Amino acid sequence: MHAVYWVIYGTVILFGVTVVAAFVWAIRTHQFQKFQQGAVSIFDPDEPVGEMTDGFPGESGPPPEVLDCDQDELSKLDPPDPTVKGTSIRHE
Amino acid sequence: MNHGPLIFLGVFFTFASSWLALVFTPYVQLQHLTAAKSGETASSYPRPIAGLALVGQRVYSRDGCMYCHTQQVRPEGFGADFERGWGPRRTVARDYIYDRPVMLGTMRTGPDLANIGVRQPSVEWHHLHLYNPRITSPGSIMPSYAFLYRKQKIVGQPSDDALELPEEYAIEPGYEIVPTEEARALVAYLLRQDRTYPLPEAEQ
Amino acid sequence: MSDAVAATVEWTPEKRRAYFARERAGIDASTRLPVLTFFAASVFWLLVGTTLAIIASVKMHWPEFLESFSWLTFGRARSAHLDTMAYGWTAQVGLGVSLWLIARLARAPLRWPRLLVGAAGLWNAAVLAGAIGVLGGQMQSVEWLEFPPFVAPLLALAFVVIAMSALTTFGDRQEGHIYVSQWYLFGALFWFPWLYVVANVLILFQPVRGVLQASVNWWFAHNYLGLYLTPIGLASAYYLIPKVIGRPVYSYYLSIIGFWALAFFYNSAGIHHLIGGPMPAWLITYSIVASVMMLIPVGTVAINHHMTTVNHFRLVLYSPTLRFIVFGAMSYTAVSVQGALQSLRTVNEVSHFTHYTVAHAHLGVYAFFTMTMFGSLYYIVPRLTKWEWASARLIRLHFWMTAGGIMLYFLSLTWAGWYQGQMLNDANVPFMDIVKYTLPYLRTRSIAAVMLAVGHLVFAYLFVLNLLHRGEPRRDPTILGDVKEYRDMIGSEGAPQ
Ligand code: HEC
Repeated sequence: MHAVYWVIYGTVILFGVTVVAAFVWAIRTHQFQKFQQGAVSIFDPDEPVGEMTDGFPGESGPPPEVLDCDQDELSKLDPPDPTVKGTSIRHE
Repeated sequence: MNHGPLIFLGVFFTFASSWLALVFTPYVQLQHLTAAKSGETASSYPRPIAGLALVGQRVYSRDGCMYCHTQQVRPEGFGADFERGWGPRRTVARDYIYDRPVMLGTMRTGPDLANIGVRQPSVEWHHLHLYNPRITSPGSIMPSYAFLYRKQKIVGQPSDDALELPEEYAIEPGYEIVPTEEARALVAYLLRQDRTYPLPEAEQ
Repeated sequence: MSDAVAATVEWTPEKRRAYFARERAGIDASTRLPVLTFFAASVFWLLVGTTLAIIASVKMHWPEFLESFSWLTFGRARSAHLDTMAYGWTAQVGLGVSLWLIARLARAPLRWPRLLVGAAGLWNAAVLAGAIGVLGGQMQSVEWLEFPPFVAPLLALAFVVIAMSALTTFGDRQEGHIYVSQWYLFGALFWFPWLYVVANVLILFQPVRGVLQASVNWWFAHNYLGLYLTPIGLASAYYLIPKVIGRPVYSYYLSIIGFWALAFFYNSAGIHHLIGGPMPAWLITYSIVASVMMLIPVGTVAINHHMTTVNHFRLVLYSPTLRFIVFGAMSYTAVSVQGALQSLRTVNEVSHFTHYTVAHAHLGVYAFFTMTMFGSLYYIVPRLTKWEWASARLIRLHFWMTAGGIMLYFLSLTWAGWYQGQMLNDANVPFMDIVKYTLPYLRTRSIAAVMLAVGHLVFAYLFVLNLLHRGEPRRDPTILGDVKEYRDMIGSEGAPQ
């Protein structure tokens, strides 16, 4: 049985150290900065934020007041360089 | 974040931790369980499943009895397994060391069968019940396993193991219903379901 | 592309748009053959699984139904239903969606499309052989692993090929950022083969001793839902909800925290299926703790999706994809909170061994996963076939039949199961009374199953029409990028600077 306890405690320590190391690394290399930008990476100039990309066939989409995107909310986003998708994050 | 290998490491570690906890550690704890003697009993329990019962275990597994029946008795005070007469003690890991596959079950559309061999020791009852559960238990929703039985013409005397069907289930005269080898095996397996012997970790 | 070439184009906003539209259309096109193969096969198995479901459901309240066919006896029909749904429908539609998402999010064409079609062929042959094996009397009574053992290596091999293609595509990525959906997919593609191989080896090929089989079994079966289906469903929701409504997810932090919490806790939750069973107490407690901790990842997902959609909720009226996926996402929250509660010993004492659990399982695999996949298919398929869906009315019918059907299913069995559990725990209630009590609810379940079947038939019909390019030709409002059109506009230059 003793061997098992060694394995368990050993791995708990190993995993714990790994987690702490990963966290320290993440802080050091600024992984948490401009985090929210990642969320914008799925949009591009052709399918930009604020445009709907699906609808029922043969029906007109929602009236403007429904789609209306409140500009304030959008401006909070700090989007990446609007011309080129993704690159602004890659070069950081 | 654009470091693929890092995500991979995390994915690997989280998974390894669960494998270690739910697969490896129980393995070390339980893989070497053996039959054991308790108090005054002369032989060790449980006994290996053998012979006809082994074939029956295969039938039980193949026809999916497990999806309506469990084979486990929960501890006293947790549910009403004792009060329903499903067993005199909870079942423990050692009870299952010879089962392949282990069919604990997760559904009780029908009663628990961990000790059915003790509760219902009659071979005739089991055959009638399996042939058509409505004969012995009116209103039952258990399926009929009539395909495990054979209809044959009576030559001379009726066979010894022919089912004694009540009137409303009678078949045409001159014919009889007899269990096939598989039906006999299944009943042998059911009668072997006895987990009432004492074990060191589960005295009654 | 060389900078010199790119520099020759003057990047007006229109051309910029056209460039990205063309790139996206080209990547979608690279996934067309394998992804449509997976979809078509999965829709086929959906119909097979539905038929078996109805048979099994009816047999439960009308045991004489088809009773003379040994191959359709309840235990086998029910298991064939589960396995065709699990490996034929959910696993496969999930693979199709994953491959499409991986290519799209990596902004790289899918690797080895023909090999993938081969793998799909192998996968389907294995599922077919498995289903025949189960019905024909080769079944193993091991939940979620009923297929005869020889099927396992075939499925595992096909899966590894598929996962390799996905990973290679991921390696080709042009997009600098790894979006949260990719994290989930990465997890799913890695976790499934490990789970599946370990479970098969330890239960069927080199069986471990006694109840260890049961713990391995539930480690696998629970993780099949938690570490394979759930990540795929969430990956799809995390991509398509923002994409459809045109809003980034509310909090990207939460989405990442949610991912790690799911990876860690879901992993260990499986043994709560054995509460009260002959297992070491520490093992069960460990799983209960993990199950309750699942509230963290679920909470993050729920908050995130809620906050993303909150001001745009009415858009579900205008988008089929959104409607199905929002239904799925809400069900995910419901099923997970229910699951955490159900793992508590006091609740489990009643709910265990009853129809309550069956209802819970369908809330997860159907109301969450399957509905999310329907939504994804409504988005993906037209972009691959370059053809709009034939009828908005049929899409709505599909939605209401499936949403209504699964709600009816869930409510009737949850109710029945809870009281069934109460009565089972009261030894004064004769067993046959419990059987009789559940009958009306079991009949209701069959009605629900028929509703679901109608929904599936409608969907299959729409899907076939779409593959065959039937119906009025329409291109709007789904935006169907056409590679050639954009090429005419901007030539074949490289990326905008
Ligand atoms: C659809 C669910 C279902 C399936 C499948 C099923 N049973 Fe049953 N079983 C029941 C129900 C309900 C009862 C209680 C009523 C009765 O006695 O028939 C029962 C009762 C029993 C009993 C009597 C238990 C007692 O305490 O008296 C035995 C023995 C039994 N089943 C064996 C089997 C075997 C063996 C199989 C597989 C070949 C099987 N059952 C498959 C539902 C099922």
